[in-house]
Amino acid sequence: MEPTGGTGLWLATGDSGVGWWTPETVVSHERGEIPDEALCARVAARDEGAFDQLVERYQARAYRLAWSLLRDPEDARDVSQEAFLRVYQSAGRFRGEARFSTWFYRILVNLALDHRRRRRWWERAVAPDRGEDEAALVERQPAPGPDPGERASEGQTMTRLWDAVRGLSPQQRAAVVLSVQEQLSTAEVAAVLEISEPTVRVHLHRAVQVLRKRLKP
Amino acid sequence: MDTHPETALVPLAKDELAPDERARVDAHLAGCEACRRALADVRAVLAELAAAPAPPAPHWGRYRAELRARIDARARAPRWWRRPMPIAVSAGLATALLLFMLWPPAPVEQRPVDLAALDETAIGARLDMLEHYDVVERLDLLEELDVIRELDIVPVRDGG
Repeated sequence: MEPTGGTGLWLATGDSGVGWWTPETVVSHERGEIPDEALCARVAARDEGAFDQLVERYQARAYRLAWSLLRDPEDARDVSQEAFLRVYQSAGRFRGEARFSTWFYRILVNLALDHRRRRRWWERAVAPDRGEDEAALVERQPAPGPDPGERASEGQTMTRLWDAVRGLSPQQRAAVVLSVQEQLSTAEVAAVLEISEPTVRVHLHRAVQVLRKRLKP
Repeated sequence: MDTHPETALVPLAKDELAPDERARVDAHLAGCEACRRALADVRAVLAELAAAPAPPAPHWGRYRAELRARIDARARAPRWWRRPMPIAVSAGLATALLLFMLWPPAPVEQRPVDLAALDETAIGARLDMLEHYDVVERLDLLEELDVIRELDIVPVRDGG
């Protein structure tokens, strides 16, 4: 689909196109950096330097997103690296119909959710008597003090809240992390998760309903 | 729109609503205490989540080196259809094939012959015997089955 402005540069590598690179995508990178989409096209042409630039640009976000979904540093490193590997292998398949960040987040979220599903299956197989709460016990902070009247500290509130996030459904959890932590709009979250915007709203609404209860004393 | 615009509260708190929807939600909130409390809770939840500390960052140099090693290893790994099949899988398949070949076949189930069904079939094939109905009506079908089978050679006497 040609850009509506009528001007643009078709990026092609070999027989496969990458997409339209319009002036808007250039303007979006304020410091004159090469747009992500253009870097991706170079990665498809096996430009190692372009790949290194993309990694450097996205490594912190990728690791943080993976960690928020999986709550484990080893898993976060593993999954985020695998997402970059997928970009390296399939950069030629990026068509430019969405932003590179949307495409990359989609890869990363799918990998994280798959990883979580496999890990939960394994935990159930290894220790079938343990529920999800027990299986995640090692990640929990110490429980609040024995005095029920004691005011919970801010750190404990946050821990309770993130424990509750971990208990959300995979889609709800992804929607919350993408929307709140990564500051993506509802439309962007919908594009990453490949669902409709109304569905994203429902996921966020239901997630917040659960989390509200954790905030109340 | 919802009676109570519950699913619009998170986008509202994030200032994402289009102007017309924003106006409708604001108008509802002006007259709904429950939704105003819900919006306050939504804002509190979002603020807590946004304030979550970032995870401890890995050493990025090592991270990128691991990534490079992973890419190189994946490039060297043969495609799955070229990988030598593990010995255990090969042995398992060979054993399964051997058992399949040597396992005695299940005996063919001998169903008891349904004589009544056979009789009906034989009789149905000889419906032409109705031409000699006067003979048929004098027969006990079960006891005179042989007669029925040979009906075409049984002489028919006039008058019974």
